[in-house]
Order: sequence, then C-alpha cells, then structure tokens
Amino acid sequence: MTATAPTPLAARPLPAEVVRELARLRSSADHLRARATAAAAAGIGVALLMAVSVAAIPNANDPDVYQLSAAQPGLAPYLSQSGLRPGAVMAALLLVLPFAALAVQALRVGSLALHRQAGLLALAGATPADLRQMRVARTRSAFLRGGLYAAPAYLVLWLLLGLALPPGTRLLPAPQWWLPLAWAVVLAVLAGVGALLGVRTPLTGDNEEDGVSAALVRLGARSGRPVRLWWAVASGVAAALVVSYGIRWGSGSDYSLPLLLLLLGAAVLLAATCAALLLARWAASSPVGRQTRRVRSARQLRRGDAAVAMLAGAQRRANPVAAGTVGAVLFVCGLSFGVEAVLVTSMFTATYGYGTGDLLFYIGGAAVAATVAVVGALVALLALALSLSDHLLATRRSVAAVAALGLEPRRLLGVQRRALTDTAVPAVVSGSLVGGLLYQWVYVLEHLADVGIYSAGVLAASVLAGVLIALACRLVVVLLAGRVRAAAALEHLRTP
Amino acid sequence: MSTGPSPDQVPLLELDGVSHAYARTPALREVSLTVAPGEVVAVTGSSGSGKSTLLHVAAGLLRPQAGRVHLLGHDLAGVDATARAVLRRSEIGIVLQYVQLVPDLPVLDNVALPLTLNGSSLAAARTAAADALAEVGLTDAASAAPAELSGGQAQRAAVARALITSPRIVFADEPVASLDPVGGRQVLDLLRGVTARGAALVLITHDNTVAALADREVRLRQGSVEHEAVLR
Ligand SMILES: Nc1ncnc2c1ncn2[C@@H]1O[C@H](COP(=O)(O)OP(=O)(O)OP(=O)(O)O)[C@@H](O)[C@H]1O
Ligand SMILES: [Mg+2]
Repeated sequence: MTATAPTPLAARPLPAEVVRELARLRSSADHLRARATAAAAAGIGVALLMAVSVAAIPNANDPDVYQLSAAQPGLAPYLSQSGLRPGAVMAALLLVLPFAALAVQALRVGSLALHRQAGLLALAGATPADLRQMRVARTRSAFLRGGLYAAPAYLVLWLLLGLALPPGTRLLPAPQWWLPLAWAVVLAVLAGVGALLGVRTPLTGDNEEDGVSAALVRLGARSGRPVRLWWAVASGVAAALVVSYGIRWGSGSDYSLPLLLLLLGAAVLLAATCAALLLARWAASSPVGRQTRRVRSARQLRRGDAAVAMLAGAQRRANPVAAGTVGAVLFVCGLSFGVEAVLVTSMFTATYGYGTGDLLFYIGGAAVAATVAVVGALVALLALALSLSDHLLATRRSVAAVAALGLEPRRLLGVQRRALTDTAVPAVVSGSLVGGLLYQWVYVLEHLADVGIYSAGVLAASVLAGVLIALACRLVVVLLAGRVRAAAALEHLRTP
Repeated sequence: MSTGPSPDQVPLLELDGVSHAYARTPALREVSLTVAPGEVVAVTGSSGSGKSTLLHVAAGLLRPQAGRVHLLGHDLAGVDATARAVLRRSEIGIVLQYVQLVPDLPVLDNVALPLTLNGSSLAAARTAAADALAEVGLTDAASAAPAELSGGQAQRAAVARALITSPRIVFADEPVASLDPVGGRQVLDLLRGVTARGAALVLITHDNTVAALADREVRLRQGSVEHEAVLR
C-alpha cells in the first residue's frame, strides 16, 4: 500500500439490533437506575392522571360555585365543588415536581460508571450520536415501563381513596371511559420526556473539545445540565398554574383567594428552587463558600464525630445539584405544612362558629393537603437518598479504603443519616416557618385574630415537621443499609 | 529528518511540531515524527517522558495545543469527534496502557465492538471476534467479564480488538508489559504481522529488547525527541 488517499468518514446510525444489545441493562446500577426511573415516571403518570380525572369532573348546571357535581356522587367536597376543584388539580400537578426530582436523580445513578463506559465505548469507535442513541433507548424504555404502571396504579388508588371511603369523602373520581385515552397520551408524553432526558443526561465522551483521552481521564466530571432541565419542569408547572388561574379568573369566580395563594406558592417554589440552586452552586465554588465550609468543618471537628461530619459534608457537596433541587422541593413541602398549621390553628381557635360538618370539612381538607405534602417530601427524600448512596457506590474504592482503615459500617450509616438530615431538616423547617408566618400574617390581617396563638401554632408545626423529617431520614438510612455495606466491602479495593 | 520515508511513499502518520501540556506539566514539546506504510516504529523513553501522550495525540484521542497531526491523509485539526470515532472503528487500532475494555460487556462483545459500531450484524461481528480471540489464545475467556481477566489476558483481548478491523495503522502502548515472555513474544508477532499487508505499527515501550524488534526507534526525553535511530 503506497497511497493513503483519505477515506470519507461518514457515520451511519447504529442498527437497532446493536443499540438494543449495547443498551441492555447489565450491572446492578443499571437495574437500579431503570427501576428508580420507572418508579418516578409512574409517579408522574399517576399525578397527571389524577389531575386530568379531577379536572374532568363535570360541573353542575347551577352557576353557584359551591354546587356539588351530580355526575359523580359521593365525592368529597374538595372535588365535587367546582370552586374547590382547581385546588385539588393543583395539588395533583404539584406532586409531579418531587417525582420529577426523583427522575432526575434516578437517571444519575451510577453516573460515574456511565461516564467511564461512554469514554471506553468512544475509544472503541462509538460516535457522540451513537452514545446518545444508546442513552435515549435506555431512558425512554424506563419511562415507558413506568408509564405502563400509571393507569393500574390509578385504579388501585381509586379503590383505596375512592371506592373504599364512605360516600361524601371520596378523594378520587371513578375511572371514566376515556381513561385509556388519557393513559395513552400520558405514555406518549413520558416517552418524549424520557427521550429528552436521555439526550440531555450529562456524560463525557461526547464532548467534542475534550477528546476521548480527556473523557477517559476526567471520569468524575459533572455538568450542570439537570439544573436547566429542572428549570424547564418548574416553568412548565408554573405555566400550568397560571393558565388554570387565568381560566378561573376569566370565568368570574369569587373563589379566587385559594388560587391566588396557589399561584403565590408556585412563585415561591420557583424562587426557592432558583435560590437553592444558586446557593448550592455558590457554596460549591465561591471562595466565600469554601471559607464557610472550612469554618463549619472546623466547628464540626471540635463537635465530636468529626470523621462522620467530614464525610457527610463531602458527600453532600459532591452533588450540589441534587441537594439543591431536593432541598427546594422539601422547602415547598414545608411551606404547605406551615399553611396547614395556620388553618388548623384557626379551626380550633376561631371565635365565630364552625359547625361540626364545617370543622370536618376543613380538617379533612388540611389533612389531604398535608398528606400530599408528606408524599412529596418522602419522594424528595428518596431522591436525595438515591443520589447520596450512588455517590457512595461511585466512590466505593475510597469508601472501602476508609473501611479498611477501621471505620465500621455503623458509622458509615451515620454518615448517610447526617448527609440526609443536614439537607432535609433545614429545608423543611425553614419552609414551614416561612409558609406559616407569611400565611398567618395574611390570615391575621383578614380576621383580626391573635398573632401569638398563630405563631405558636406555626412554631409547633415546624418543630413537628423537623422531627418527622429527621425520623424519615433515619428510616431511609435503614433502607439504605444494604447499599452502604456493599459499598464498604473490601473487595472494592481492587476496583479501578 | 534523516530517517524519513522514501519520497514515493506517502506517510500514514505525520506529526509536525506537536506540543501539549496538561494543567501544569508540559508533556510534549515540538515533537515531529513520520511513520510510513509497513513500518514498525518504537517510541521509547523513561517514565513520564510523554510516550502515552504522544500516542493519544497521534491517534486523535487528544487534541494537541500546538502543531499538526496528519493521520491516514486527514488533518486531524479539521476532523470532528464523530469522524475521529469512525476512524477509530474502521481504520486504526489502539491498545492503551491501562483499562480499555467496557466493564459491562463480555470479552467477546468487547472485541466485536469496532465491527458492531461500524454497522456489522451482531452475529457476523461475534464470529470475527471469536477468531480474533483465538489468535491471542483467549478462546476460553470469550464469555467472561473483563473484571474476571488477569492484566495480561485483558491486554491480549485489547490487542485482539485493535486488530479486528484490519487497521492501516496500529498504536500500542506497552502492549506486552504485563505479559510473560512467551505470551509477550506471541502478541508482538501478531502486532508486527500487520506490516505484511502494508499497515504500520507504532509501539510504545520502555523495554529495549522489545524496541529492538522495530525498524526505527524514537526516544523521548521530557517531551522532546532525544534520539532517533534506524534499527534495520
Ligand atoms: N491526564 C493528565 N493530567 C495531568 N498530567 C498528566 C496527565 N497525563 C499525563 N500527565 C503528565 O504528563 C507527563 C507525560 O505523561 P505520559 O503518560 O505521556 O508519560 P509516559 O511516557 O507514558 O510514562 P509511563 O512510561 O510511566 O507510562 C507526565 O509528567 C505526567 O505526569
Ligand atoms: Mg505511558
């Protein structure tokens, strides 16, 4: 061979057979990622189906907004009264947020191994488009699998929260003939979101400027893309809120205060997300942030279990985006908790008469809203736990090295608990205080009530929320124990 | 350059004044190098002299900060990530110094990768991969996971993968450092075998007896070419 005329270097899309083979789930991290993603997608799907089902409850002909819907008898007033229904729709839509946060974290499970794999595949000749194709295939199928569970899950929920409850208190409308249609639409939406997330999941190896060599070296690098994604989700929800509020406003309802509050809530959510993300990034990078951390860790060193505190801090800082988004979701859950506190306080202290039925109505409403907030908080906590334990597995060599030096598993679990509570408790408690004190201010002005009692109620609720979330963190750590022990296994000393 | 290719041969690889520095460490300084068809070039030098960096730059895995790289007629500066990936899976073979097998894929599929990525059917690629594994004496390890291989076995699997596309140029970074003398000799013979069909081999080694098998030796010292010699 003497001539070396350059051959054209065009790439074709991979054959479907090859994509399927390469995208197959193999490692336990792959399976966990797929399962957690599917669970999050199922949650999003159910929340969407609930929102649609509630929104579709037909109105009575009577223009009175408190009129009960006749088409679905037995529903609780929050659903049957056309004036209250938008609130229930909002609650369902807001549930999408924690599940979206869970999905984002779920996709990052094993991200270090994914980075590495992408680099190695690129070395063997995979183009950036090939890598994207494999990721999209994986993510989309996980989302679709989750979506398949959405309608059955809705049916189960309806059995529990609808059929099983006495007439007049049912919290979900019966499935209608169009449920399969709505399900199909939800599936299509989830498949689209899954494909989008697959394209945008941060991985090196497709980074043109770096070259494959750098991809192989800089295996730990992370990009900030999920932040923008989070923004997209949050803006979408905010837009939905604005639109539905506009519709209500346009229809001339006089029941606009709860909607106004919800809108306010959405605005606070966006602001809180933004602030938490900025703060997390700042804390991770700025000199002031570094200084603060140094002072903090010095204080922790003096305060006892220094090794645990330092490891926990390192773990949280390793993924500021996870801590930021989850913190924001938990903050919103706290907000709702604070507002509930004011409402409940008002029921027990109001001097003007509540009938027994009214009281039940309000307590029931507060309980439902609180339950939604608790579910949201738990899902968010799960997302954080996922990200933390993933970091643990990603760094299992160092973890094993630490374990080899004599840090026993019990204290490693302590690290996990510490990392969780240090994010979750402040977020929930501050959310509850902010929400409660703000709403109390509105409420007290409106009803000329006693500030002291309400402040006490809000304080008590915030303490309760803090204790509950701390307990939840402990519970999550117990669930994580297996993964922590696995990460500390000494055979990881051989892991590259 | 006194030892360049004869004028009628267009070089497969041409480095011209290539320099590269990592964060603080200058790894390559003004390196120029030409590799002709059918040639075996040994790149030697002490640890940290820039041998691996040279390989990464020459194979298009790393963009140098200065200088030009012409590989198989392409000016790599103008070749994007996709085209460089296509080059890797169709026309060049790479054996790196450390891990290079995808941990999640069995050895057979790892060796088949360049073919499957290039559009072959799975069945055809696996048949070819089985043959390639047989050549390096790894038939028994075909279904094993890379983590189950010894260092030397993994290196042989990497050699099988690098050769599976009948590349026009092969880059090998210490391909026999973790092999016993007999296995090492066998792998070296396989690698040198590519010259029979006009392909070239760039062999990185710190071992003088390995370097002695090359047609030409280029010795690096602190990122610069210290010495260049025709051996045969
Ligand atoms: N990813 C990297 N980041 C920073 N510095 C690097 C990186 N890779 C290599 N270096 C530095 O560049 C210089 C050359 O490294 P290189 O790996 O090319 O040497 P080498 O000749 O292959 O050594 P060895 O024989 O030990 O493999 C060394 O000083 C090394 O520390
Ligand atoms: Mg080297």
